[in-house]
Amino acid sequence: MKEESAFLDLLKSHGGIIHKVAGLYCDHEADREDLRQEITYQLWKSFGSFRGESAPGTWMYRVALNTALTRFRRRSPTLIFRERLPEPGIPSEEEAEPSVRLMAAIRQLPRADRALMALYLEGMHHREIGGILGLSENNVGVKLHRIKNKLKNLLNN
Amino acid sequence: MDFEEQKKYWQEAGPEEEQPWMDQHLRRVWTHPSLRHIRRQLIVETTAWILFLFLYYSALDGDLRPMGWNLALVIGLILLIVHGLMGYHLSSKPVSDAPLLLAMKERLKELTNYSWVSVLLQTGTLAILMGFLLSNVSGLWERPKLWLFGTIVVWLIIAFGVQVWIWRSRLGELRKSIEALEH
Repeated sequence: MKEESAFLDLLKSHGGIIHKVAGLYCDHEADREDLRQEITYQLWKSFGSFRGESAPGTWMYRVALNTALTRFRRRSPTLIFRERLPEPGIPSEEEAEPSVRLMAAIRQLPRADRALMALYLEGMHHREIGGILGLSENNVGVKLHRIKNKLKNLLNN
Repeated sequence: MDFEEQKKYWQEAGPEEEQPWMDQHLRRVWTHPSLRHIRRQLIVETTAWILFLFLYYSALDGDLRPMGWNLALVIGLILLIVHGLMGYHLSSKPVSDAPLLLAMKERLKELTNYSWVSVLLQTGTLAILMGFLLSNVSGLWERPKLWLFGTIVVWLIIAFGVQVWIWRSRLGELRKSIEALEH
């Protein structure tokens, strides 16, 4: 019971991580909802072994990204008929909030690059990102430079 | 472009209101969407195989066929049921909290091993079923009909190829992500 309440507190204080990771890897709300539940389930299963050696946010990112990148199950595509066709790609500055545009642009990147970018935007240092991803600090720097250029192009075009 | 500003947008992003999944987590195992789907599939498949196991002997004249083929079919069907349970166990296993690249490599290895067990077992059981159905055709094994065995081999190759293709596409994204992180 104590463990459950600690887990719920953690979800309430860091729930945004689950929300953001689901947004990075799923285009549709129904898929995002499935992924959010899957991440929550995986976090709960790993919570018992979380010893607090890293910050809770770092641990949550690690489990959430592992869940998003290693799952291969997908729900069957849902057919939705809208009156207007949705605009493909990234919405313009007038159409959407900056955070929505940013998320849409990151979703255009390859799956592994999205993880790197999310950790960078969260404000983590290269060493910390390397620890989560299993890469050297130097390698993180090189990859981030390349990904930032891609993202700039996506947001400017 | 100012990335510090983008960081601010990112860090501010989050749910606008408390999501239902936060409070529903106590029902986590039984409402977990992927597991629910796999569990339903597992129940249907296992029930079908068990029914087949109980009914095949009278429905497919098991008593008129050689004991070896009967035994092989029973073993194949039991292994298929075990394989379904293994798949469920693999899906419900907690993800690793090891560094992402390492965790992804371990997961790929596990899934690749399981995929080969799955493909070989399903193709093998199909081959046994075909052998079982042909086992009491008189004179067939003494004077084999090439066209018949050829057709069976072609069907088995197609079944094998389709399953390999399905697994390859399932694991493709994971493989690509590992390569992208490594290079």
